[in-house]
Amino acid sequence: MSDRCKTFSLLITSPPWSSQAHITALNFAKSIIKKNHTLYRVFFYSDATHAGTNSAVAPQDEQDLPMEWKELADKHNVDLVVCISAGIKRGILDTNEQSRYETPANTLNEGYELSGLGQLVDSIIHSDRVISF
Amino acid sequence: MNLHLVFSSPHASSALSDCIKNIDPSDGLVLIEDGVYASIDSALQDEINTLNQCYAIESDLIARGLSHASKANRLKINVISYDDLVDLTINYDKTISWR
Amino acid sequence: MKKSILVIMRSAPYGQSKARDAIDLILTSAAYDQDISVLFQSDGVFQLLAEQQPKELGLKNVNAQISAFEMYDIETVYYDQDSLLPRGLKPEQLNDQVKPVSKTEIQTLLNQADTVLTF
Repeated sequence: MSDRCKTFSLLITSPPWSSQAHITALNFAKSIIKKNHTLYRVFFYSDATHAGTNSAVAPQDEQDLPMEWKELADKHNVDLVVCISAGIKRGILDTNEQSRYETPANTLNEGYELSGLGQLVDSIIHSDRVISF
Repeated sequence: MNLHLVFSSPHASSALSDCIKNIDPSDGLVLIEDGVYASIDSALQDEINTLNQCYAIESDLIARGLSHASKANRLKINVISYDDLVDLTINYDKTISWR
Repeated sequence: MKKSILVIMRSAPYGQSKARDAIDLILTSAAYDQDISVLFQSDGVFQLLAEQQPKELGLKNVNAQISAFEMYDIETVYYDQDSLLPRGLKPEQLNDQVKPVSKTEIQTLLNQADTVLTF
């Protein structure tokens, strides 16, 4: 078994809350870090883009998934990318997109970045392992 | 050698059967999330037993009340943690997810 | 740097967005000069049926997009021949740009890829 540090990226396509995917992916991400590997990027695609919202209110007795990702990213310098085309379609917009499309609010949470599928391809190119959730 | 992650219950989705179409005896199979329900499905025992290694995520078994039930019914399923899963994804060449 | 990516299309079109999501990713990978292969399997073979008219639903034609793969130099595009019979399909009904492969050939595709994504 190799002890060498490996680089991981995660691709998430499943929605937060209505599937277990984000809970599982967060647990996996924490293990990657605990085992001293590198978590290069988490790419949120399709319905997973909802995790990038700044407007979700977690019930008191539940995990705050968007904030959990943000905290993980802040603490361990992980890139959180929300697919821009999938995100804006679902109402996840940063200030640039908000002014471009003149929508009522910017809804992208701090710590997340809107970008294209090219960032997913970049993750595939630069990671030893890409795991989908 | 590939590692396959199956996230759905065998009766709710074709994930497990689609995975099995593409699995080689030297590959590994991880039952994760609702996929752990396959660990007590006797119809799948033969299939699972032909594989090199079959694993199930401990948290998912415990959450679903399956830790004791599956122990009685399952053969050759290794119960693992998320840390173990990280090791597996490194030891196998790549990981393929089936939901 | 070039990686080889295999995308397995296992979902029927239109009822879910998985086919569209995968196609966007496939085209982006090609644009970034990656070595991309596509395998249609299980319900994914329904994406290859001729005469789809999704404008009936206001949606983009998945089969037409698949036919355009050639233009992006995406030539390694296959379907699992074992997926047809259980679905009452015959090869003649499918997009003829996509080649049938057997289980053994699929194992080769799986082993050769650096990354495999399923949709």
